[in-house]
Amino acid sequence: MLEGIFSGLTTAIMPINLLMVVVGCFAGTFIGMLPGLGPITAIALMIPITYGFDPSTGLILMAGVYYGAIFGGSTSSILINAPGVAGTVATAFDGYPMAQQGKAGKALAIAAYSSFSGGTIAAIFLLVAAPALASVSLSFQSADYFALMVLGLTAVSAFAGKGQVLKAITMTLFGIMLSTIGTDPAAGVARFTFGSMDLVDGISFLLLAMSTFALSEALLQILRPTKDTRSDEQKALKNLGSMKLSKDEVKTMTPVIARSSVLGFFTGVLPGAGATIASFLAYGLERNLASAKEKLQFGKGSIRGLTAPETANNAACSGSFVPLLTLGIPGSGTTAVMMGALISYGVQPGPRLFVEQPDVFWSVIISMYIGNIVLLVLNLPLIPYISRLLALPQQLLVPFVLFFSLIGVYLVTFNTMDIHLMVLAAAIAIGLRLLNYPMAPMLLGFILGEMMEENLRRALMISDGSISFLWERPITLVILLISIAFLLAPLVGNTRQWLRKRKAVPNDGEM
Amino acid sequence: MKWKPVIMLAALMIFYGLTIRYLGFLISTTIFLMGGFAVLGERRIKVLIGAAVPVVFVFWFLLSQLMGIYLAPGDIFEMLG
Repeated sequence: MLEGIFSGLTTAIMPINLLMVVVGCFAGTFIGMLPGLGPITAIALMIPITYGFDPSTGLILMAGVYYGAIFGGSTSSILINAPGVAGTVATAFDGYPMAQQGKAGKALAIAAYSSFSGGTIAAIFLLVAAPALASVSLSFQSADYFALMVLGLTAVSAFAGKGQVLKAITMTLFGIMLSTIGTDPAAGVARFTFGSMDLVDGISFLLLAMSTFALSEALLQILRPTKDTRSDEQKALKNLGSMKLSKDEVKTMTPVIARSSVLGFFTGVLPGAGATIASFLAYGLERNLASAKEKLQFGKGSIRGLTAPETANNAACSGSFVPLLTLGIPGSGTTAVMMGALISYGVQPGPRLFVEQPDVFWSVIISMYIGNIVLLVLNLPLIPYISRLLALPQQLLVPFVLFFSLIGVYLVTFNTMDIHLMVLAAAIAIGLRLLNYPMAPMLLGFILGEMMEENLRRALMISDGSISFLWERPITLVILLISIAFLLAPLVGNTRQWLRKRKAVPNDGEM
Repeated sequence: MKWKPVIMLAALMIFYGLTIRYLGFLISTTIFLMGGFAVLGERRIKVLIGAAVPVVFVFWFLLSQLMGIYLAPGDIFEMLG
């Protein structure tokens, strides 16, 4: 293991890789600060740029972009109460009031230190947990993998939030359906291609990610113009105030960071529960732990209230890499895009990665750590420059985003059909977004659908066509039972609520 | 809801897909970007050209010279001789 860490470290500190972390953090922060563009878009836009690189360098850039995008989201949360990313909504609760009190610089510094500490602690956990889990998961069979993927997909739907569960399930199934387009992996027959040669290879993941995220997010900015917040943001950046923290403040932050990073990491490991849920959980935990006097501070610029979600969302980001690296199963939309990038470099994430390409495995982990350091060292001083980039008017920005998305996909296949397919997919995505359907479950369903099918077919072949493999091994059965519980949980909750309502209005039945 | 510019941008993207083979990367992309800026309300000809042409050339240079991706010149040049 020590050998692996060193080899990862030597890869990560090569000049080109260090340069990439810096570029990634900068680009990620910039995209994250733009209204409407999230980390999935940021990563997807970077994938084509990294094709020429070797896998480690590409991944290092991605990690930088990922952390940068989250940090950029926090910046706009704190400065103008406009979270660019769902994971930083909780940051605005206390960060924005603090900025309004003229302590914007301090709030940004707290956010940066919390993110850094959360990311660091979680990276250490990852360092320990990932190899251990990877060796356990080597004993998993196809049936178990199938069950795990079912669990991952149901968990995503279950964590989708109130009133969104059915929509998330629908989108997951839609993604699985899209993944069946193309050549049947077992029989080699073309399926659902309508006789078109362009669809024989199926829809590429990059195409789907670009059109449902980058393209549709950019077009939605035009379609549904939100108040252009960038000038406010720039104004806020002009008077940040001091960025120094006092000893007392650091003392307040330390225990919060310790608690929130553990909570965030484990929330991130769970499939489906990502940075967003982690940040809300951590915020809630801190508020419950706080004394009555401190509780009044929450929502009015409490340091604890800002530290907790910022630590937790970064820790969760690292945590979400655990299932990806050890099982090859992404647990969130962002890690799904990361996985798409890995596969495009010819790296298959999963338990065998640790054995077969230890250099890639370790450089991912080390690079996340370096990404955190760079974020702390470079981003704070760089913020004024990033704000200058924000001055780029929207009418110029949107065509560039469209162009980068289109050309990124086109350069892989040189097939103009892909460009037209992207326009179609983006149009469908915009329609679905306007109806409040979440896009990430679809992406996850799409990338897992293919693997699910492979594992299901293999398991069926081993058990000679009988479905008994679903309950023969206890581990398979347990995983499937948990999935069923996840799926039924919202239903049970709704029924109980409905029954309570009926009890409260007894005459309802007679009417 | 501003559907008009979005539909026009979609049309531009389709146009881009239809012409990139024939006009080649440089010309097609320049038209796409300038068209996109114009659709979104940029009218100053200096900005239109100034924002599109350098980016297209830098991108082309990066791709073909540094990253070694071969971008075929448009078919139209072959037809012209």
